[in-house]
Amino acid sequence: MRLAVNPTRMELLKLKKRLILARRGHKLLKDKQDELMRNFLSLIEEIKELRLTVEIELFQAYGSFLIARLTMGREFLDEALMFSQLETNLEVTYVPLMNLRIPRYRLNIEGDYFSYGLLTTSMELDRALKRYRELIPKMVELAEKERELEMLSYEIERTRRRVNALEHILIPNIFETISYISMKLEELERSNLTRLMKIKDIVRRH
Amino acid sequence: MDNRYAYAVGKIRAKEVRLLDLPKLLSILEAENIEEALKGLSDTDYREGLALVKQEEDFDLHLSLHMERVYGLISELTHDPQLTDLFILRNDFHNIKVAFKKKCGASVEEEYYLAPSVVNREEIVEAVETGNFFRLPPLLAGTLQEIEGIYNSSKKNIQLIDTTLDEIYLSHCLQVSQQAKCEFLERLFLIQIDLTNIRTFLRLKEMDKGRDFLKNRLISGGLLERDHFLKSFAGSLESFVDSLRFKDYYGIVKDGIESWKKSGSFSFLEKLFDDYLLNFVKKAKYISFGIEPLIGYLVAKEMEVKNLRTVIVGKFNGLFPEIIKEKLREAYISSRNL
Repeated sequence: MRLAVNPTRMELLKLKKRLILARRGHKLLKDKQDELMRNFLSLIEEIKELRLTVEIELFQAYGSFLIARLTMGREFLDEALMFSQLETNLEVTYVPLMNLRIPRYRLNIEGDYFSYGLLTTSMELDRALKRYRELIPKMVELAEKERELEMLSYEIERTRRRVNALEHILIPNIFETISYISMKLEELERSNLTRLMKIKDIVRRH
Repeated sequence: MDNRYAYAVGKIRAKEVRLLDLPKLLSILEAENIEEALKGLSDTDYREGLALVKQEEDFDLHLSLHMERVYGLISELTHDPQLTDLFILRNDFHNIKVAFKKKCGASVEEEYYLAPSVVNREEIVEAVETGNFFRLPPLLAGTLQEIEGIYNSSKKNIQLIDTTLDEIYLSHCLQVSQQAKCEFLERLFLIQIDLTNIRTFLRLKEMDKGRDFLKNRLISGGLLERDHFLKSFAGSLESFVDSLRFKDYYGIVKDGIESWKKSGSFSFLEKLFDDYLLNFVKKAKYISFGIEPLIGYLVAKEMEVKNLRTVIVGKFNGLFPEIIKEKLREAYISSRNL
C-alpha cells in the first residue's frame, strides 16, 4: 500500500533514506531474532534436562516423605515440621541480554533443616528433608531458567512481529511509494519537456 | 503376682482378641479401593466414627480419638496410675514442644496438640507463654525451666530443646518404673532408650554431624553406655555392628543396616526396632495378674495404630500393596492364638 505523501523530490529523498534505514533495521532485527532463537533453543535443552532431574528428585523426596508419613502420626509430623532453623534468602540481580533484563537468583541458605526431636520422628523424615534441602537450589535454578525462557519467547514473538512488519509492510510500502513518486516525477519531467518543445516550436514559427 | 489386677487382666484379655492380626491387616490392604479398605474395619474396634472418615486427615483424627479411648480404658483399669500415666505423659511433652515452638513464632493449629494429657494443655500453653511454670506439676515446671535456659544459652536451638525434652521424658519414665520396682516397665523404657540412641547414632552419622553433636543428643541411662556410641562414632558402621555382637540388639542392627545400605532406606531398620519392642511386650501375654498385660495391650494398640495408619495412608496415596506390606510391623496377636 502506497504511503500518503506528496509526490515531491523532497519526499522521494526522505523515503529513500527511510528505506535504507528500514532495511538496516530489518537486518538488525533479523540478526537479533536469530540470536534470540539460538539462545532459546539451547536454553530449552538445558531446561528439559534440569526439569527432568528436578522432577525425578522431587518424586524421590516425596516418596521418602510419604514413607515417613506412613509411620508417623499427623500430630508428630506437624510438630516436627512446624519450626525450621533454616533461613533462606533470595537475592535477585538483573543481567542485560538483547535488550532484556534477565533476572538472576542467588540463593543463600543458612542454618540446619534438622530442627526436631529424635524420639518420635521417623528416620525416613531425615532422608526426605535432606533430599528437599538439596533440591531447593536446583528448583531455584530451574525457576531462573524458565523465567529467562519465558522472557526470551516473548521477545522473540515481539521481534518476529517487527521483522514481519518491516519485511512485509513497511519496506514494500516505501518501495511502492518511491516507485510511484519516481514515476510521477518522470511524468512531470516528460510533460515539462513536451511543453518546452511545444513552446520552442511556436517561437520558431513566429 | 498382683491380685488387684484380676478384673483388669480379664478385661484386657477379652480386648486382646479383638486386636487386629496380620491376616486382617492384609485383607484390608488387599481391598480394591479406600472405601473397601475402610469397610474392612467395620467389624473391628475402629468402627465407631468410621463413617466420618472421608480423607487422610480424618483417619488420623479417627485414630487419635481411638487411642484416647484406649488410654481412658487403661486409666480406668489401672491400680498404679503413676505407671500407666507415663504413656499419657508423652502427650504432655509433645504439647510442650508445640507450645514452645509457638512461642518461638511458629504458627500452630489446634490439631497439633495431643490428648489425653496429664496436665490440661491450656495450662501448658499459658505456662510456656507467660513463663509462670509454678502452677504446673514439679516435673513439668522443672522441665520448662530447663528448656528456657537451654533456649537462651544455645542460640535458640530448637532441635536441642526437642532432644532434651525426649531425654527428660524417657529418664523420668525409667526413674518412676525403677522406683515402683516394675521390672517389665523398666526394661521396656531401657529398650526404648537404647533403640532411640542407636537410631540417633545412625541418623547423625548419616547427616555427617560431629561427635559433640552426638554427645548432646544421646539419652543417658540405657543398657548401652553413652561412651559406647561416642567411641564408635568415628569408626565404620561395620565396627559399630561388631561392637554390639554380644548385645541383644546385634541381629536387628546388623539386618537393618544391611537393608539400609542395599536400599538406602531406613524403613526396614525401623520396622525391626518396632518388632523388637513388640516382641518384648508380648511377654506380658504370659503374665496372669499384674500391670504388665495392661502395658502390653497399650503398646500393642500403639503398634496396631501405626500399622493401620501405614495401610490406610498408603492406600489414600495410591501406594502399591507390596510396598505397604514391607512396612507393616508384627501384630501383638497371631491368628493361631484366637
